[in-house]
Amino acid sequence: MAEVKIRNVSKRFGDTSVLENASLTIAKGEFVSLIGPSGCGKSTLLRIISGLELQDAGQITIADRVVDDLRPSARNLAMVFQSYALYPHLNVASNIAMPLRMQRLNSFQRLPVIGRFLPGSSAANDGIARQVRDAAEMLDISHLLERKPGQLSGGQRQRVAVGRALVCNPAAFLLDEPLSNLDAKLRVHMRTEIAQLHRRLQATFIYVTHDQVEAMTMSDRIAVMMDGNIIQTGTPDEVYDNPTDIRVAEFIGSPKINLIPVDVEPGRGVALLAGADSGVVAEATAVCLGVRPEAVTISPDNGLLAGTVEHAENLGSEEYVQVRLHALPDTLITSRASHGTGWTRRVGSTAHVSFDRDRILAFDGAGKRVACQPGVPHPASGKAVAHG
Amino acid sequence: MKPVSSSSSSGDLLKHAVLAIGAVFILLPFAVMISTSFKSPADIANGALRLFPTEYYGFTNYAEALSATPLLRYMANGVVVTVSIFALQLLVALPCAYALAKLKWRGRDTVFGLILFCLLIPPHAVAIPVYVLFYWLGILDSYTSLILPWTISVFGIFLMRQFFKTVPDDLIDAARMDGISEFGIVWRVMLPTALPAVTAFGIFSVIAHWNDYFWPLIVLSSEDYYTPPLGVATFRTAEVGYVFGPLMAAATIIIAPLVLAFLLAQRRFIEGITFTGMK
Amino acid sequence: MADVTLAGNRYQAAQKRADRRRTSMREFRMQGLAWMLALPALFLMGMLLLGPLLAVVLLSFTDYSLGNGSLDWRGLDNYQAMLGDDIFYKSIGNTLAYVGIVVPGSLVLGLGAALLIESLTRGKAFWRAVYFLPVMATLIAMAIVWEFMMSARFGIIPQTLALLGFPAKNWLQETATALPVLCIIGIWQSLGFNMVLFMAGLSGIPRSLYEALELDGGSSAWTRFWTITWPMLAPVTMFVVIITAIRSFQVFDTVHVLTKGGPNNATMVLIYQIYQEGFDFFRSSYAAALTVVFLVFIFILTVIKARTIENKVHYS
Repeated sequence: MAEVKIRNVSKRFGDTSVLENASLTIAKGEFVSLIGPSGCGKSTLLRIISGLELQDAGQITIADRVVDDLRPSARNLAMVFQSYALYPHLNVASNIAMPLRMQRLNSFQRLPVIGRFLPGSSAANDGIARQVRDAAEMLDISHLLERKPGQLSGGQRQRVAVGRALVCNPAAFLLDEPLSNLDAKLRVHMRTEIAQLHRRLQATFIYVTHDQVEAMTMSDRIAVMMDGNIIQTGTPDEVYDNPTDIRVAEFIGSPKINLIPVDVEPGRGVALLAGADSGVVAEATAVCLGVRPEAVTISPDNGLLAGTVEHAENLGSEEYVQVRLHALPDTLITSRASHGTGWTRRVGSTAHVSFDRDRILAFDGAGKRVACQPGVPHPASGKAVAHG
Repeated sequence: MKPVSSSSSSGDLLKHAVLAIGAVFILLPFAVMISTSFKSPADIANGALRLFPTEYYGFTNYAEALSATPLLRYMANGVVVTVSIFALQLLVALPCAYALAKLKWRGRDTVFGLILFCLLIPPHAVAIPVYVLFYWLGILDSYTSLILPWTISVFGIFLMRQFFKTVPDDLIDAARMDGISEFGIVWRVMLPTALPAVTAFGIFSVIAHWNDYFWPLIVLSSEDYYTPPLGVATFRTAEVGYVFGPLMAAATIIIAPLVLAFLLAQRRFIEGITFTGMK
Repeated sequence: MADVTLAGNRYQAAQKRADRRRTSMREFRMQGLAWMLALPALFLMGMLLLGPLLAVVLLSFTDYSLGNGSLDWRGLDNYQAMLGDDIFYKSIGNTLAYVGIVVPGSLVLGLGAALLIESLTRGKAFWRAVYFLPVMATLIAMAIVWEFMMSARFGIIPQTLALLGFPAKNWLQETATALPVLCIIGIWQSLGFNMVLFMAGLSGIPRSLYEALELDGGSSAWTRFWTITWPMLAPVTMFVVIITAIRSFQVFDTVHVLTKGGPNNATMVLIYQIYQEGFDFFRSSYAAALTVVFLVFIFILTVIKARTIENKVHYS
């Protein structure tokens, strides 16, 4: 395990810039997810770390060693690919053994038949076989060692790919959307397994995904990428509760965060939603407020803004309700509440929406987060007054 | 239900009958060849329409076929030549096909264009200059002259490139992560992965060169290097007055390896021919 | 403060230079590697295909004959000689006639066999093997068998025809029938190959089309063939026509073994004439000029073939 440092890495493919000055330090033993929509450069960054792709500028350091001039195999990394990339003609044992064979046997010892009889090769082969067995046991695939990849299920192939990665005891694991080819049920299961594996190995994991649930559930830290930039790095909680950019706020969280256009009263800084006082004071540059669905409350007769229930979904454990605001017809507010806590919403009925003031976020015209905090409500008028 | 099934089976019967009539045309030469190879000269002279010989002469004919000319030597030459050609074709074509399919380099499109252009060149068209070249190099009448012209198979490169394109990039990246060199990837990853295509190409190549007549006819003058087709053709001209029994025996021996291989692995052969034929 | 910035700038500039150098080195290595992998093929392609192709065109403008140490530029002399060469006209005519008979013959028979065999419930593999057998058999050996079958006294064919009242002649030695006999052998040899290609084409037609037609009321074999099979098979058919034509253009083996172009040049074909001029008479330059003519025909056919493949791609 080792620390991986990415310093000012840029990459262009022809005329399109895929990475612009990306920097990120991944601590020893840390599980970091690179997340973002497709085309954001996350896979390219991973491939640059692995050495499969070469950056145009910048530097990659692994365990304090600059690796830019090293071939992928010399960087002591292991990668798990989206398509698993198992050698279709080799059985599971040989697939897992491949990186070790390439490291420990010379090209003569690797020859088919004769190689086995060359000096030193039998000891090396025994060592390799033992490690393969250990890895297989750890992943519970010992009974599959003789099979070819074609005879395995998706989940089993996934494990073999992980086995091939962990057998060579790498400085860091690179995982490129390893779960996206699995069905939903298996994905949840493998998510747990990978997280457990990380805890057990205490190794550095760099995990690329477009699935926020994977990133949120497994990572120590998340790096959110957009258009070739890392726009925020932080723990899952930080990224969810304190997004620094409107794109992060929108990308993380499902259902999506509610964004409501806002006017900030000059001077007092009171944020007005369609003229109504939202109860928060925001910086003058704010143009939009963001409220997570669970910070929205809906009631039949009491609230900040009135609207019509347009859609309601009962998921069993919780309920999503979408309300179109009368005063802002372009805005649809989604609320999320535990099942049975509200009144029964009927589509078409009138509803009143209010927000948890402590959880309102404000963004400026460029999408940057700006300051915003709850104001003290005026006792008489119900209007907010700024704190100090 | 019943009338349907009976009509279809009687329809099938009719189809089998039509196919059987066609098969007479197809199989007649084979039947004549084999039956004549067992006939005595007297039988051949008088019993052209008889399928089975009146006296068994098979041993004499086959012994004569094998002793009158070094037929086995020709067969061995045929094996040496076809196997060398195929091995060298792979050695030359696979790395090139890999570079064309999976590496990014300046000049790739130009090289591929050249290969497409070379696909247009029929082997007969370059026979004269290649012959002149070999004449000046002094390598006419040798194994080299039989093998060298076919070591470059643009068709093989094209075919393999198409197949390699379907191999996922991840697999190649995984091999690079495992420490396999680019050259190693060609042989340790691409070749085994493309085995069906390689087999198909092998079948195509072996059939073409085992049966080739034109090129050996041109470059060879000494019988030491004769391939089976040339061997059987010489047999015919050598045997004054055409001793048909041994001649047919020789023909049978020469077509036997490929025909037997085909009958044993029919599906593979037909798939291979279809795969290569459709490109 | 200014010093720090300056040092920082200098560091950045150095880093940038290093980046650029590394990128270009790595790039250079990858480029070199790709060329290395392609190099053997490129070298052989130049020596054995492209060079000779250019040489054949150049040779056709000279008076080179094999063994001569020198040659002279003769412009269009060889082509002019060709225009006055009766044998050339004969061989072009015969080649076209051969192609004109073998292509439709092996196409129709190959398609017929493919349709019959594909519609069978049992015995598909057996019949397919039978019809494919001639493709596998060494043509030279089989040509010799055909020759034997044609021989007037011992041959099964003249003897059978004699029973029907025809004169017992060797039809390969008759001016009027030699070429047709070669055509029959050509069809016999190539129909199995075409059959296999057609079978592949047939298996690519979705069954649902036939089921849809059945629902629409078209259930006779005739309707099925003309409304679905034939149009769906059109790309394969075009393809088969072209490759059979290219192969037939190169007919040589049977001519060399059975007729040597005779009798009376009745079976003189283009490749055989090239062979004779080039390797019997050693008139290399004239043979080269004939080769150029041959190439023109092949190029036309291949261009049509390339077009067909493109269409096939658009089809799907």
